[in-house]
Amino acid sequence: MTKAKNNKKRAPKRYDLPLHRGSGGHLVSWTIGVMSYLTVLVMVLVFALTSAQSVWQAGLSGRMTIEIPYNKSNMVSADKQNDLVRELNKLSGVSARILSLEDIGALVGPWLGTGAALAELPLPVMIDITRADNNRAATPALIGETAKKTIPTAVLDTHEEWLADLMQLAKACRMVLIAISLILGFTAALTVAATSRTRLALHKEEVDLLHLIGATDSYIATQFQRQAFRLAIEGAAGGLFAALLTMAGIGMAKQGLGDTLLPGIHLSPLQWLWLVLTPLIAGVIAMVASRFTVLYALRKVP
Amino acid sequence: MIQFEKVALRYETGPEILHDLNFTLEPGSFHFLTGPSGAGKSTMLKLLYLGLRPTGGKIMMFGQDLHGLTRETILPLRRQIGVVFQDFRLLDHLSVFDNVALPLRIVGREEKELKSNVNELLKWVGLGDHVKSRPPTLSGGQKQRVAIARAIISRPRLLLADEPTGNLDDAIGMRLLHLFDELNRMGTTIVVATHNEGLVQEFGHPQLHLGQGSVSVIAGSKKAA
Repeated sequence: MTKAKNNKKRAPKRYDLPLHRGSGGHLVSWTIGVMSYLTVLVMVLVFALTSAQSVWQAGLSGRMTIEIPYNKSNMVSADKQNDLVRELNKLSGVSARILSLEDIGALVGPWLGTGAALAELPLPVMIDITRADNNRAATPALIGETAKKTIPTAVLDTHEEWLADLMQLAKACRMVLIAISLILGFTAALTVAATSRTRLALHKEEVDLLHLIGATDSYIATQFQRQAFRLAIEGAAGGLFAALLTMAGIGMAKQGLGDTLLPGIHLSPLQWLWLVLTPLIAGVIAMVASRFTVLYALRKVP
Repeated sequence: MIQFEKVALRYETGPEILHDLNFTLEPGSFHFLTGPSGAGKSTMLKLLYLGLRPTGGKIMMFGQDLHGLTRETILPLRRQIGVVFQDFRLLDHLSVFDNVALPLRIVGREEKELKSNVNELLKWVGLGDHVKSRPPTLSGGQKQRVAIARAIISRPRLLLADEPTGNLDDAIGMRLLHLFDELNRMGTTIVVATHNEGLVQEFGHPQLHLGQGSVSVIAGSKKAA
């Protein structure tokens, strides 16, 4: 019984071709390991960018600001400012409020410091406007018009242009990152293909023997693909582990910075699953690359 | 069963190495393939085990014309041919058992089924105690028997051996030929390439004699030991 179990365990490890010999295996493992390391990091960046995009969109969507520029010779009175807020609040689905000195202090704090004497600075008056998402009546044009009626110097900033640019940039970055990960995958496949070709030439005698005994091309290709799969899984697992260590290192280094400069990276369970599946994906890529290379090369054998 | 008609062979644009080969191997026959060194014995064996395609003439094998067979359609024919190579061509990283089991695994035979077949055959060739040994640890004679076991495990209709006694002393060579005789009695068609005149005389089987690129059939003395 135990013997039978041992045989069952041993059988899949047997290679009819001595593919486990030679130095090519380490090269494949290492190359796939490095590729996987980079791919995992690129994937994390893509995921982080995607989640940052959602945060930016959620934070700025439906938000506008009215700025009343500082003008020493023609100051807008507090009553006028309150009139404008009242008019704005009358619009359907619109909520407006004047930003206090503390609010403005929090905004300019990173540049001027928290101890700045804001009252003595020529700061504009800012009115924060929140518009309900489903509100189609209170258009930016209507809000701008309402503001101009009460205070002609008021300027409406919808953030939309800026947000659209940011989103476009983020989308472009994401595309570049996805392209990089595809290039990494393609390079890994090329490495496996080149190694398979070399090993096929190296073991030509044994391959010829298998053919003479009656082995099909598919049988021989299976030998190569099994080995490529194993080497790729080993290498990619190492790459994934190294990438996770790198992420942990970045996380620890970022702890002191807070979320102001770098947004936190929070991966969803699905995104974690993608990362964990990287070795398997690398294995499948290596397997397919090896199989097709060997089949293609064998087809040319007379 | 196997018929060569005006078969010729040349490598690329070189001169014809073999030409005008005409002979027939009847089922269950035993022939020695003889001729001086360099006469083309190994090349003719390659034609027989379908390792080479002729550049002229026609070969009929097991009722099929080889002309026009593709790489895929030639496989079923190859599986009916066992070959014992001069240099054995064993796979050193595999055990004796795995080397012999190879042809059965290639055709997808169940492990349980092939285990008993392989063990039985290894006992028959006197290697029952070397099932787990690797070829590099075996003597020349033992390697030869592993090669024979691998060649006959799938009960081929045609067994070809290239100088099987070349690396063996006379006594072991004789034992080996007796083993071939036994297989032949079971119905396997056998062709043994050899330059050992003593063995040819001793066993008295007909000869396919190669000389100057062509073959002549010499009748045997039928005085088998």
